[in-house]
Amino acid sequence: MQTDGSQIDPRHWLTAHGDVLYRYALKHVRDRVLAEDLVQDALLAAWKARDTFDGRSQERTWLIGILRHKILDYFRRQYRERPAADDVWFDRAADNDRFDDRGTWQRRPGSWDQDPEQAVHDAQFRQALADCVSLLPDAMATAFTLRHDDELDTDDICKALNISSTNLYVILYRARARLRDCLEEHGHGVTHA
Amino acid sequence: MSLMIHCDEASRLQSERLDRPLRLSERLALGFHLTMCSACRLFGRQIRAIDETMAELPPEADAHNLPPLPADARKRIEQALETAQAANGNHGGAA
Repeated sequence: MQTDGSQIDPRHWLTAHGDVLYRYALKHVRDRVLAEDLVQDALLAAWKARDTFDGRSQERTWLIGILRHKILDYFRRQYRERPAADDVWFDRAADNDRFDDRGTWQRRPGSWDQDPEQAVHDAQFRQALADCVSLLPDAMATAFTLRHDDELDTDDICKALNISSTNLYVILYRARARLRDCLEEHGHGVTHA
Repeated sequence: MSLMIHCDEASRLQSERLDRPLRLSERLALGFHLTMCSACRLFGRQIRAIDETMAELPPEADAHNLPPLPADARKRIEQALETAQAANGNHGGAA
């Protein structure tokens, strides 16, 4: 059904989806004022583009799609003007401690308290993972969060962040390794000798 | 790539496998290492679980306990939308 422009009420967007949009933005930018601005930009853009909303997709999905573009635009502008040095993306010294001179684990990865394959379906594990993501350094969290957005591929991410794919892979590797450590440390996982 | 790799290289490849297809030489070297190294096998299963869990969360999921849109921001955005709407209303609403 084609939605008649007069039936669209942007105030309803704010009521129904404001919190969701704001949290989505905050997850990516971690700056409250900036997240508010991005939500506002997205809703104004949605209002201008209201004729393109075909009523078939869900309103929320449509709005998140517009917000996603605004967030990527923001990253693009930021990293084009000021490409980030490697040490913005990861702390080389901290991450290099993982292995000894011969490339062997300094400390072997410990087991979690359940099989990794089981953990995927566990609500507490999800919560623990989300908490651990929030502890990642900003830039690393940005790359990792974008990587898990279904609508984006690694190419989109490299362009937005102005980095090479090789660099992206390293960042994602370090992010995963840190998340694994974090899940082991924060209760999710008992180290078995 | 030499067939003999160490844990540092093996764990990096296990992560990259989640982001790009590995080359044949990489797959062989990794496979060889993993047959001998339980620590790296565990690491690989764990980071795959991390990625799969992330994939299960819808983009709007709030597992992060993030705050709601603050009232003052909500008011400000509402005003901006009203202004935009008013500017448009002159043209008779529906196009």
